[in-house]
Amino acid sequence: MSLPSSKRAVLVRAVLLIVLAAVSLAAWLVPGMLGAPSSFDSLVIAIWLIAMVLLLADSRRRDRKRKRYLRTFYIDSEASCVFGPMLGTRSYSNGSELLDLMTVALANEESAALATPSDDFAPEYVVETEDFACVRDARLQGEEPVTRADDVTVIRWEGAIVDLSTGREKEFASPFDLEDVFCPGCAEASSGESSWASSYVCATR
Amino acid sequence: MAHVIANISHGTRRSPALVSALLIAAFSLLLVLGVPHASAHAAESHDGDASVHAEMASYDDHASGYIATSCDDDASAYGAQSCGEDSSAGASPSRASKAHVSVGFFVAVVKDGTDSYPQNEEELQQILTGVYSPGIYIDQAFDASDFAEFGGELYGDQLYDLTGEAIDARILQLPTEEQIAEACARGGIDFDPETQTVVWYVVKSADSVWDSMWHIDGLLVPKEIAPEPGEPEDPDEPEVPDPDEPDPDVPDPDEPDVPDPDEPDTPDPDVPDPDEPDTPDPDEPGADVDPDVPGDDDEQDSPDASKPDNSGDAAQPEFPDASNGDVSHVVDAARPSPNTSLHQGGSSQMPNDVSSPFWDTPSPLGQDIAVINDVPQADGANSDELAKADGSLDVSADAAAAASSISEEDTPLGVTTPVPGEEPAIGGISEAASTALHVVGAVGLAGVAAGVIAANVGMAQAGSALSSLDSQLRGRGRGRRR
Repeated sequence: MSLPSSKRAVLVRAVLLIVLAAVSLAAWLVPGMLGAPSSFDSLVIAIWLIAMVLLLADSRRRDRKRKRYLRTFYIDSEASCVFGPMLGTRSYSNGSELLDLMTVALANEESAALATPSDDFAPEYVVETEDFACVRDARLQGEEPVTRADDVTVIRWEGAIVDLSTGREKEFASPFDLEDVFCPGCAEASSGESSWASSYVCATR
Repeated sequence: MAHVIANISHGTRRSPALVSALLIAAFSLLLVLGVPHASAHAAESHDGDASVHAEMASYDDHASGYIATSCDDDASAYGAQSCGEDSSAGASPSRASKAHVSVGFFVAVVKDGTDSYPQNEEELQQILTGVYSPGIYIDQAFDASDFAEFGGELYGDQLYDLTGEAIDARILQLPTEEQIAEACARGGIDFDPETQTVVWYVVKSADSVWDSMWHIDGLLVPKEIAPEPGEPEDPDEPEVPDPDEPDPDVPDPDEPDVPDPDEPDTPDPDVPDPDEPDTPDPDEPGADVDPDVPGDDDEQDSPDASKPDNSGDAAQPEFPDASNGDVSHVVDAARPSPNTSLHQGGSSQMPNDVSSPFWDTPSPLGQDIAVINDVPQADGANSDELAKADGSLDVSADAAAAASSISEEDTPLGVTTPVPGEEPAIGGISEAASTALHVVGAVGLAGVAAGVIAANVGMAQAGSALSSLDSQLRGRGRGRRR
C-alpha cells in the first residue's frame, strides 16, 4: 500500500525526529552508563521528557483546533455560494452539489491550499466538521486528487450546523444528517420522511 | 508527532516563529548545558556546609569503625602521629590536591552470629546480608587522586581492601558516629556504637546512570572481630595492654617514662599533666570503648563537648588520654598489621598548630586542602586532611600495602576486580568523550525540542489566522441578519 507523498513526507520527518531524539538521548546517557559522573542526567532527561509531553499535548490540541477551522464551511444560501479554507469560494446549484463540494474538499484536505473569501461574502450557515473519514475509490491512481464525490465513500462525518441568523446549532453525526439538511429531496426520497434538518433549512430559506 | 511534523511548514514559513523557535532552542541548549554546572555549584555549596558540620562533628565522634577508635579521639599526640603516618602512606602531597571527591558511605549489615571477620571475598560474601544503610554523603571526603593509577581509568574500578587500610588511607573525612547511627536508624538497622564498628572496605567510583556518587561500603561488625590497626613500626613503642583488659594500671610501670623520640606522639602516661583538665581516669571501666572520653555519652551527644580537644591546643597535652585510647584499641600483636596508621586517617584530630616536634612544620598542603574544602578551621581542626597530606610523617605506602589482608602483589593497593554481588564496574570513558557525548546529546535534545516548539508555534499562528477568519465570517453572517 503506497502512501500519499504528503503523508510519506510527514512519516519520514516523524521518523527522523524520533531517531534524532533517540540518538540524542543515547548520547546523553551513554557516559553515565559507562561510569562517568551523571549527577544530572536523570534530571535533564526528566525535564526534557516532561517538556516534550507538554509540547506534544499542546501541539495536538492546536492541531485539532486548526483542523476544525480548516474543515469548516461557510454557506451563503441566497447566493448559493460556499466557502471553505480548503475549498475556496464555490457556487452550487442544489444541496446535493453542495454536499459533493464539501466532500471533495474534505477528501483532499491534506493537499489543499488555504483560501480567503471575497470581502462581500456573508455566510448564513456554518458547517463545522469535527470528524471526517472517507475511503478513496480504487480507481484513483496514487496521489491523484479527488475531483468527484463519487470517488470517495464517506464513512464518518460528524460536526454541527450553525444558523448564524438565529444562532441555533444542531449537531450531525453522519452524512445522512447533512443530506437531510441540504438535500431534503434526496433525504425524503431515500427515507420517505422529513427530518429536522430539512425542515430547518426550508424554514430558514 | 505526525501532526507536529505536518505543521512544521507553517512555522518555518513565518520568520518570526522560526526566529523565536531558534532562540528557544538556543536557550534550551544553554539550559541543558548549564544545568550541571549550576546545580553542581549549588550542590557544592550545600555539601560544603554539610561537610563543615560533618567535619566539626567528627572531631568528637570516632566510633565509625576501628579507624576512628584507633586514631582515637581528640588531639592525642599518639593518635595524631598515627593518623599522620596513615596519611603519609595514603596521600602524597602531589596528589592530595588533585581529586577530592564526594562520597556516599554505606553501611553493610552482616549476618547475625558472625563471629569472625572475613579474610577474603568468599568469606565476605558469606556474611553479607545484602542490607545496606542509606547513604551518608560527605563532600570531598575521599582522595581519588591516585585512584586511576590502579585501574587505568578513573571510573569503573574499585579500591578494595578488607582490612580497610588502603581505603582509610585515602579517606579525608569519615562519617561521624551520629551520622552512622542516623543512617542506620533510617535504614532500620541496629547500630550500637559501644559494641559495633564499621570497617570501610571498598571504594567504588561512580558507575551508574542514577548514582553519580562515589561509594564507600563498610561492614558493620562487632568490635571484637573487626581487624584492628597494625602495630606501629617503631619497636620502641611502649607495650600497650589488651583492650579487653578491664583495668590497665595507670601509671603503667612498664611504659617508658621518657617519650621515645621515634614515637613522637606517644605521651607519657606516667607523668600526667596536672594542668590538663580533661585527663581521664584510666581506670574507668569503659576505657576499652572510648577510654579517653570520661563523659563519653555526653560527648557523643554534644559534638562541641570535645571540641577543645580537636581545636588542638598543643599546649594541652591529652597524651595520657590519647595514649590510653590507642592502648586500648590499636595494638593487636597477633595480627600481622604493621601499619597502624592506615586505620586512622579519617579521624585524625591532630591540630595544625601542634607544637610537638613531630608537627613543628605545618603542612602547606594541609592548608591547601583546607582551602579546597572551604571549611572554617579553628586551630587546625582540619587536621585530618593535614595528617593525610603531610609527607613529613613517613609511613610508606609499602607498609600500607603490606597491611592489607589481600595480597598486594596480585592487586596493588587493593584494587581488584568487582566483588561478586556488588555493582559491576562498567567500562570507562574518558572525560573528553563524556563531555562530547553530552554536548551531542544536548544539541540533539535541544534540536528535537526546537522542532516541536517550532511546529507548535507554526500551528498556533495558522490556527490563529483561521480563527480570525472564522470570527470575521461569522461576524458578517450575524451582521447580515441585522
